[in-house]
Amino acid sequence: MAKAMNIGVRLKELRELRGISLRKLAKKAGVSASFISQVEQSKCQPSLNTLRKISEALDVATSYLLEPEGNETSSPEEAIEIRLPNRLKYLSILADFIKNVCQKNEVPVKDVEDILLAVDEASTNIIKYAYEAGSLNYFRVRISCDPELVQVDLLDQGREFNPLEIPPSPTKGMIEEGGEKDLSLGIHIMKKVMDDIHYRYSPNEGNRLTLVKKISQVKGSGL
Amino acid sequence: MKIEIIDTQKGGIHLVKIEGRLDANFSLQLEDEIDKLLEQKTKNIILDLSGVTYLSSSGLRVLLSINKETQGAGGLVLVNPREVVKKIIEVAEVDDLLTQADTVEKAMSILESSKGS
Repeated sequence: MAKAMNIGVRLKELRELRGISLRKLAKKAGVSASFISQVEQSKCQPSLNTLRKISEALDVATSYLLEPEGNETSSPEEAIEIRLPNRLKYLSILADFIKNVCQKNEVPVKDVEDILLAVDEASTNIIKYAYEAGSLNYFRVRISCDPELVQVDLLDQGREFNPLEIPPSPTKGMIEEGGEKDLSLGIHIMKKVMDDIHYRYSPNEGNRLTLVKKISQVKGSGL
Repeated sequence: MKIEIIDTQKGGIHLVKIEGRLDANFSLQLEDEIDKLLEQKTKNIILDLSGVTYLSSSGLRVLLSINKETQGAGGLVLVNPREVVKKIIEVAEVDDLLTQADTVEKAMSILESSKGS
């Protein structure tokens, strides 16, 4: 889902990342500050030569400014991550974090509710079962949003466990207490409210559960 | 999460008001509180959920277990659950198992009319 970035946007991002003012960059690159400003606003295109000078001043490869991101990442956009101890009391903090990110990205309320439900169920399972009872361990939750979807990855280094392999049992049977039967109701709910779920295990990364929610297009003309 | 138990005047019906998040962190607390009420012979419980901002499968499991316990000895009615709570009840497909009512008064009449049946 990565948008094709134009040079101006990438230049501005990079300049801000490096913390260099327009004037300083201009001086280093041997151009005027107003020129750089214009490039950033996509009002003019620098020559390749000028681009090279600007890149050097920013200490990046010229190609980095020219090409849109093509690297393989498992998240569509930048991701924000939280790292939590495996304690149930942090579930509400996790919920606030996810809600905050979604709201900043103007994700519709109904979708946010679904995401919160699924993330809560998934993280409850990790907290309760991934590690040895009572031990202090950590797990990570990463969230990334783009206009079309929200992706949440839950990463833990506990025992290898694929929640998707729990056989779905008829709801009435999920009422039983104890052990893995405890899980099936939560997993059933997760599957119902999210659009896509993947699981992957690798020896160095551990468990990775990916939850994807397609953003409902509420606005839109002519519908 | 806050739990407040209000004993009603009418024939052993317990009104329990719950506020806040009912997630895995709090479901055990709820279960322990309600277990005390369930020790009595008649088990009529009204749970006012109007202040519950969130319910997860853990909380739902406690509600279902309370519901099961009251069968034959009384009943459980959930009062005024918010949309987010109704949603999980529907998604989990247990809406036919759990009795819901808009107000405490309606819940009381549901329990009173089913007494002795």
